[in-house]
Amino acid sequence: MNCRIPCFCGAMPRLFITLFLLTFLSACAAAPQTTTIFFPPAPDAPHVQYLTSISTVRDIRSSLFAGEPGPGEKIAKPYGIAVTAGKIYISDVPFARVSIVDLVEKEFKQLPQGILKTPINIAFDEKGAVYVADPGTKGIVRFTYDDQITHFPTGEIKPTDMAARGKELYVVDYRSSSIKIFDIESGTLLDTLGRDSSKGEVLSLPTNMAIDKEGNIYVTNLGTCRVIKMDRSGKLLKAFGELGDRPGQFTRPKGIAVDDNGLIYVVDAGSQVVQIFDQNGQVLMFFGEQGSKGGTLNIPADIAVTRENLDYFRKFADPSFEVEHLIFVTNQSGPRKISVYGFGHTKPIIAANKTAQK
Amino acid sequence: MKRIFRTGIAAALLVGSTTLAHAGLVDYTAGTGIATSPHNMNLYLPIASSGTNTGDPGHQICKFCHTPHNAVATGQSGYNPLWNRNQVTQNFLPYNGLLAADYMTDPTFLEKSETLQAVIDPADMMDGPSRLCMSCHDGTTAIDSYSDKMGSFTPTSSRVVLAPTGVSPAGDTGGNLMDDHPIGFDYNLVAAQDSKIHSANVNIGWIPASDRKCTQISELLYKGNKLTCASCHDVHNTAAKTADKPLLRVKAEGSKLCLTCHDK
Repeated sequence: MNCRIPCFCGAMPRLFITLFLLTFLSACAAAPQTTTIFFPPAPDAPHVQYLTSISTVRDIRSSLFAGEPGPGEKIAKPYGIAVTAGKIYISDVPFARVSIVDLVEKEFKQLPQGILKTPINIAFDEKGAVYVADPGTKGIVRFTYDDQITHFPTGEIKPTDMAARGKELYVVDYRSSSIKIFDIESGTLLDTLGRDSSKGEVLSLPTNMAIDKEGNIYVTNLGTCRVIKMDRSGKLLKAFGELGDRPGQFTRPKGIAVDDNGLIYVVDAGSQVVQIFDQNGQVLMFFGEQGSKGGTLNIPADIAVTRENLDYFRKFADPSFEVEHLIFVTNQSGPRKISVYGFGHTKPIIAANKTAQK
Repeated sequence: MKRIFRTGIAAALLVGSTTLAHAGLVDYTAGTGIATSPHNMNLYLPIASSGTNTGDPGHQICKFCHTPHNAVATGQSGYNPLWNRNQVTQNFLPYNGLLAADYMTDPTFLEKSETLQAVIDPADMMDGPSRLCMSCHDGTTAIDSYSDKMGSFTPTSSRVVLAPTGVSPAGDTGGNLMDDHPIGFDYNLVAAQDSKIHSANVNIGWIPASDRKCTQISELLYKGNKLTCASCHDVHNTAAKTADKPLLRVKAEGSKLCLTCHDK
């Protein structure tokens, strides 16, 4: 990063000069990292770049204003992650709280505490309410936009993930290995999916789910190490994956996300990678892996794919790489709690130049 | 990126009848083998699916943790990453710690615990068996499989996740295992610096032999020096080896487990 320090005349008090120097030097110190980490690595064309990580409030503030993070300003052991209205929601399991990373205000906040016991995953509905799957309270806690807190009436289940679509709330029940669909207003159970073998493969220890823009459901299954895609009626549309250590296989499939192009992202806590699949279940690439360097993952859990905050994170991208959307992955161990990646492509003009040079 | 081929451990243990699959998870007996222990996922699956899922078709136990190593199958549809064409001959590396080379080139993660006279590197504290444990004991699969709440599905505390400090009274730090349940450190280094820690290479004569299923502390350490989850926990509920519930190598009664290492 090019850092220019203006030249001041001697009349300026020394204090101000010092302050200015501090300001500019700090800005330089907080400059994005210079090491570029692409996945897949060269010579393959890059599709994902590791951008940065967020573990405490210091990671989103310039060093000039960053003091020691307070108790509510760090992430301990995150599991779920979800993004809405520019804010990143993270469930911090040992602290029994959901932290909110506000990149605009550059601060960490929390959902009201004392209600959740073991918050796992997070979802939002169209009205701005936040839903937290909390096996500790054997249910789902809803935080509405007007600060009302209610236990969503699910009955005795072990919820591990949710998604809201229209007037329905989809809930992964680990206890019964099923997806339960509730009326989002009344809490009435409308449907139970994933247990009818006549409609296809049944669910087996499901932990995480995602919904695509057509309303299809994607579920990761620890029991069979398979990803199951079904429609709203529970009809099997696609199933792929198996237990193993090869690309396309899983050991601990956890978080799952689907982007607008239909690409499916699956986090594996065992092999510590995120694998990207197309709609045919064909594995396209993987990123992460073990290690201490930036870009690696450490017992990763959940994933969020978003176009929000693109401008904020684009400053971390290589000048040759056009970030189309962001990928957030939580790490349950290690120094980086939230790893931030950019999904994209090499900018056409640069790609053309490289071709010309060859 | 430097990668290493590693032969996985093939799982081959076949379990008996399906009636076993409906055994409860709570009432297991210490030291009776993994097949009837909570770590047999085939017991877990039927409960979690109201009996409609009877577990692995062959009722294999080991493969859930000792991931089958599948040979490279170039050309096999669906298993060649289209965008990683230069890495199609690679396998993932489950459950391993970080590479020593990485660690040495970037030691900035080193943090020193105030109470423990050892360095725990948060990047590799889950090295060895611990990573394997924590990939399930993370709040979803085994959130309540801790202490006497084994398999009950009714966790009652935010601390039941095998993690860490929970909400500390002081409201500070937390979140890593440094404060109250440290793992991932070099035991021998601690023993050398702290006179209240027993040496790893002497016979544990101060704990009655009938109360422990180990002879020396070094047996309990990963690669002979690193303390992991498996240092205290016999995760396989090894026949005639597990000393106590929950899957302990030394009896908890009288704090014998603690006193195995701590000379207090």
